[in-house]
Order: sequence, then structure tokens, then C-alpha cells
Amino acid sequence: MTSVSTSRTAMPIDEFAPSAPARQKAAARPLRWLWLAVAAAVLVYLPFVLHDRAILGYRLSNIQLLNVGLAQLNLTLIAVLGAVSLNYLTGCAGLVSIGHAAFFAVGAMAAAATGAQLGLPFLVSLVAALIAGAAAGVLAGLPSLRVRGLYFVLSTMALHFIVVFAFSEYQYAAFDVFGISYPQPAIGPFALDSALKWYFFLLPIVVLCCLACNYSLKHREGRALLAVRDNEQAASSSGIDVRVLRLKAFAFSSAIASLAGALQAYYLTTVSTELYSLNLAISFIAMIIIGGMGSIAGGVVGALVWLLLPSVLTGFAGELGAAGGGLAKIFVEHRPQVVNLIFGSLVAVLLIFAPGGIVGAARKLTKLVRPGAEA
Amino acid sequence: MARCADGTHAARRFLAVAGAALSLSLGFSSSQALAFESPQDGVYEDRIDWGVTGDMSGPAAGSQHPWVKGFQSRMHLVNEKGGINGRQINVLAEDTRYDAPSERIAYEKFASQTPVLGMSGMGNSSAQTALVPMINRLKVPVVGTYTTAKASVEPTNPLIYGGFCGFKQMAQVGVGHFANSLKLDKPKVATVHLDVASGVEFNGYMDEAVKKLGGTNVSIPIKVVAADATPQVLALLDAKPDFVAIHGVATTSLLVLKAMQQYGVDVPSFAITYLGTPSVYQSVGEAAGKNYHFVSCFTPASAASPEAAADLIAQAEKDGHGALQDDINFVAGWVVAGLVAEAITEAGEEPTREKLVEILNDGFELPASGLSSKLVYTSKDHEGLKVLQPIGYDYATKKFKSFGDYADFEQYVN
Repeated sequence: MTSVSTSRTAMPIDEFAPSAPARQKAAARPLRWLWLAVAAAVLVYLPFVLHDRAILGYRLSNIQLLNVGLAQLNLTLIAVLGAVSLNYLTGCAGLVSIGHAAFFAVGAMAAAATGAQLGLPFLVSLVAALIAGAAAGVLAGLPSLRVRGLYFVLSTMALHFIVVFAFSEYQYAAFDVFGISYPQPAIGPFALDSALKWYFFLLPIVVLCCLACNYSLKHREGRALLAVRDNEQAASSSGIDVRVLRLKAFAFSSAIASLAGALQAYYLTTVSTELYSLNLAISFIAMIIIGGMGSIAGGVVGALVWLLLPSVLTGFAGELGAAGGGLAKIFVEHRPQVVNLIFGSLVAVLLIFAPGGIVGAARKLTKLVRPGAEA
Repeated sequence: MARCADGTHAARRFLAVAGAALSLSLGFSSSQALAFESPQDGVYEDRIDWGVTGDMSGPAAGSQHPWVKGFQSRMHLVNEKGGINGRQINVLAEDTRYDAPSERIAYEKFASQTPVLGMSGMGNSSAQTALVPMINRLKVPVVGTYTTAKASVEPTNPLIYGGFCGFKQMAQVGVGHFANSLKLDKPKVATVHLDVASGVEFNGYMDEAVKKLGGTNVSIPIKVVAADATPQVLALLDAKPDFVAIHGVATTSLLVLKAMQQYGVDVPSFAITYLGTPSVYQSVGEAAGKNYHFVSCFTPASAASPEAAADLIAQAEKDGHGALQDDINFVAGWVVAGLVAEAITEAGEEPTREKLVEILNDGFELPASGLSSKLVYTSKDHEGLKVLQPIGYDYATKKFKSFGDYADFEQYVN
């Protein structure tokens, strides 16, 4: 005991002082809050800029606003929910799923049953979508207890077709061939009847879902999920109940996706079975690959790139076409093809040089610029 | 005196020049005052912006992209002839990839982001249905839809005007013509249709048309991604129909016709307008295609009179779309652009969205042009093109052939 006490007193003062990374972290904290405040201000002001097509009264051209509109931003926010929830499942839990469009359809069906058929309030429909999504997620996750790899991927694909079939039967039986029409969403007397109102309703939901995913990943179950993803046997031998954890991950992810499906259905006012194609499911996979697998930020960035970049490219292609010259005809006559070509090439280049996605590349770059900084 | 005379002359010249300059400047300023602009309606001094949406890179691009090209070609011709009331028509085409969210984004864009006087296209019926409340709110008129959803025209909406043959009329003319020409009292019909909204709708209209004649209709669904139509043709063998109706995309026709030939099902068939392309006939070959027809309110260039098709053929060649001149979708785009040009012309020198709606809703008519049947809008009916005709393909001449005039088939439409 004495020796211990002696050794403590003999310890140099520096040992009790914060380490260099800890000091850096502490110093970076106010800067971080400053960045957060700036980001919040931008997120609050952005919809007004897109709505008024002006900054502080100064009118901006369509191309100065990158050919982006408020409706696009709202649909991107909904897609962020889908991408983040898939990233939680695929990037963090290691469960590759191509059934995410099915969870969107489950949410739309739950909202149709509660909102359009039973006439329940909008918020009740959203809660119903969350519950239905979680239940569907547990069912979809059951095959993961027995099958792995490509076989599991196929089981999620089967789920997709089953749900889409159920959706079309439900649509044709209870609604019109053109789709299911949803009532005007409202929270009490506050009707969501403009793109601006929708933005301020969607933004907190997206932030909350991202925070929930982030919180989960930083705590016991999230870390256990990452352990299962990296080495299932090692995780199992250290006492993690892999089966329960997988079902929980599926339920959590699909509940968010289902919520996104309900929001999308209400936003579009009418949806039909055609909306929930395999293309939609694959687009979510593309989003998380582009953004970066295994991080919440990856889902957000991927959705932004996937939904907004084609529009930005379309805007610039239009400008080039209008400018005249040899390439103008190609940009005017074949603009969708040119945009797809550029977008596809950018994605291919990104995957070759930044396999960790945009977020992975940004982290590498940060480490290069500031070697001691936390990535 | 001479000096004085010279001075008077100089003064006169000065006055004349000053007067001319004054009148020029007055004229210039008054012409500027007269030059009407309404940017929120997409109308500028020298141009009018007009929106077009269509699937240019998605699953329906095979039919909708030619439609957009047809529309653009016609507007090129209008612009080459000096535009409308001195203004060029600037077509803003948005690729919506057969995707409802993209269609919504495009519509909102046309409303305020890059404002247009009006728009055409909107080829996804579910998306169109979803957009009706937004169209009512943002008030950008949709003139000449590529497909006409029931919710868009029933009840009549002053902001939406059909620009394509309706499924109801396709079923009525197809059933009426084949029952008549095959001399059938109670026709037995089979309808092969996609298991999507428009397919279910078309099958419903087939049911109605066949039941009216006391016959029966069997519904045979097929997937849009189907790679084989054997199950559908086996169902046809069971049903033993007098004739077959086909709804779908070009691949649907190819698969069904080839499988029918393979299994020896030799009955006449007719398809919806969208499938009237030379490529379908050329791909299936004469043996399978000789008994295949489509019903249409548009006439392919090779089946139209040379005078009616002259402008279309010349402009299509000029724009590098010569191969599309016989594509029914290209012709449809061409005709709809003509409708738009006419409507803008009638809206006068100061066109606005409101004025355009007024012109169209008060009763608007385009006579049969040789490339389409007569188009009529009344305050109670915005479907537009009501009369269709069956069209077939002559493999010997590689040209389309019609079976009469549009007026001959008016009897089947109600």
C-alpha cells in the first residue's frame, strides 16, 4: 500500500494533466458548437432561400441555386431516413438487405389503413407506420437467423416481392387502380399544406432519427452490432446474443424506413404499387455506398448526392446547351443521357478512388491535413 | 440671302434630324412599353418557356422519349417560322424517369423555379392522379397529357387537357371494329395487360365494351419485367378467344406475339396506341405480325397523306429523327406541340396562364390534321381526342396502313 502511495506521489505532475488528444478535443469543443450553430442556421434559412429564390432580398437565378427546389429538398429528407436506416442495418449490422422499398410500402399501407380508411389523425398514422415497420422488420429478420450472405439477400428480395404484391392487392381491393389517396396531413389545426411547412416538419424528424441511430451505435447494443458485423463467432463467444441483436437491428431499421414510407405517401398525396420497385430498393444501397457504409453521415451524404446531384448536373447541362457551340446540341437533345453518363462516371470514379464513400474520403483527407485530429 | 437661305436650310435639316431622333426615341420607348412580359408565367419579351415532362431514361423511355422528340421537333419548326407573335418557344424538358416523386419535383419547378406558361406530357398516370391537388393549387395548366388519368378529367378540371387517345376509346374502337369485321355476335375476348394501374383500367374498359355486345372478356395479367409470355399464351389457349387485346410496353407485344406464334394461336390481335411502332412489327416478323394491329387517334407518317405528313417528315429528318417519323409516339408529340402552339397563338400577344386556361376551357377545337383525329375541348369535356382507327402494317412496302378514315370509326365511340 505504501509503495503504491509513494509511487503516486512520485508521479510527475504531467501524468495528471489531460493528454494531448484530450486537450485537442477540449479545444475543439467550442469550435464544434460554433459549426453546429452555423449548420442549424443554414438549415433554417435554406428553405426560405429556395422558396423565395433569393438571399437577403437578392434574387438568384435557377442555376445559382443549383437547379434545386424545395420539393426536391423535402423528398431528399425522406430519402435520408431510408438511407440512414439501411446504413444502420447494412453498414453497421452487416445485414445486406434489398428489401428496403418493402418497408416503405409497409409504412404507406399502415398510413393508408389508419389515415385514409379509419380517418385517424396524421400523427397516429405515423406511429402505426413505426409499429408496423418494426413488426415487418422482425419478420424479415427471421431468415437472418438461419441463412447468411447471398442467401439472406435473396430472402430480403423475396420479402420485397411479397410486400409489393400485398400492397397491390390492398390497393386494388380498397382503393383505386391509380393508387391510394391520403388525406391532408395536419397536426391539430396546423395543416401541412405547403412545401415550407413540410420542410420544418421533416427536418426535426430526420435529425431525431439520425441522433437515435448515432446514440444506439455509441452504446452497448450498437457496439455489439459492430462486433457481430466484424466477427460473428467472436462476438457470440463473448456473450452477445447474436440472434436477438439482429432482430432488434432489423426492427429498428425497418421502423425508420416505414416511417419514411408513410411520410412519403402523405407528401405525394397518392401512391401506387409502381412506386415501390426494386429500383427504389437498389437506390438506397447506392446511396449508402456513395455516402459511405457504416456511418450515419454516410447515409445522409449518400442521399443528398443521389437525389440532388442529377438535378445540379441537369441544370448545368441546360446552361451549356443554351450557350451554343458544338456540344450544345448534345446537351439539349440528349440531356438525360448526358446527365446519367456524367453521374454514372462520377460514381464509378468515386468507388475506385474512395471505396469508403464520400465520408470515408473526407475522413482520410482530414487525417492527412490534421494528423492528430479525430476523424 | 444665300447665307440666310443656307442658314434656314441648315436649321430645317437640324429640325428634321432632331424630329426623326425624337420620334425614333419615342417609338422605341413606346415599343418597350408595349413589349409584354410576365416572368411568373414564363413569358418574356422574346420567348415563352413551356415545360415538358416525360420518361427519357427510365422503363417507359422507349415510348415517351420519342414523344418528347416529336414535341421538340414541332416547336423547332414553329420557331424557324418566326415563333408565336414574335416570341420563340423555349421547351424545358424534364426527365421524370417514370417516377412519381420526380414528376412532382418537375411540376413544382415549372410552377415557380423556372416558371412556364404551361406544360405537356406527364406520362405516369399514378403520378398524374397524385398531382391533381397540386395542379389545382399552383395553377400551371397541363395542356396535352401523354396519358390521361381518370382523376385528371373526371370531373373536368379547367387546368388539365388530355393529349392522347383514351383507354376507354381504345377498347371501344378495338372491340367494335374486330367484332364487326369478324362478324361476331357475342365476342369472346382475352385481354393481356400489365398488372399496373393503367393495365387494370384498360381491362376494365375492355370488360365494359365486350359486355355491351353480350360477349365475355378474360383478363390475363403480365409483368412489366416479364421475359417470357408462355403462361399468358397457355391461358389464351384455355380461353380460345376470337381476338386478343394487348396492353403493355413494346416488349409485352413482342413476347405475346412470339409466344402466340410458337403455340400456334392464330387469332387477330390489337394493341393500345403506345405500341404502334415499326420496331414491334419488324422485331416479330411477318408471320407473327401480320394479324397484329393497334388502335390510334394518331396516324403514322407513312399511313397519312403526303401533304399532311410533309412538315413532320422534313423536320424529323432535319433534327436527326428521321427513323422516328413512323413512330406513333413521335407523331403524338408533334400533334400535341401543334395544339400548344395554336393555344398560345389564340391567347394573343399578352399570354398568361389564366388567359391560356380561358381559351382552352371556353371551347377549343383543332380539326383533323391528317396526322390525328379531331381534337375538341369543351367546358365539360377535356379528353380531347375521342375518335380512333385501327392501323396495321404492310410488310411488303414496310408502311403502315389504315382501314378507313377516322369518321368511319366514330360509331364505336360513346
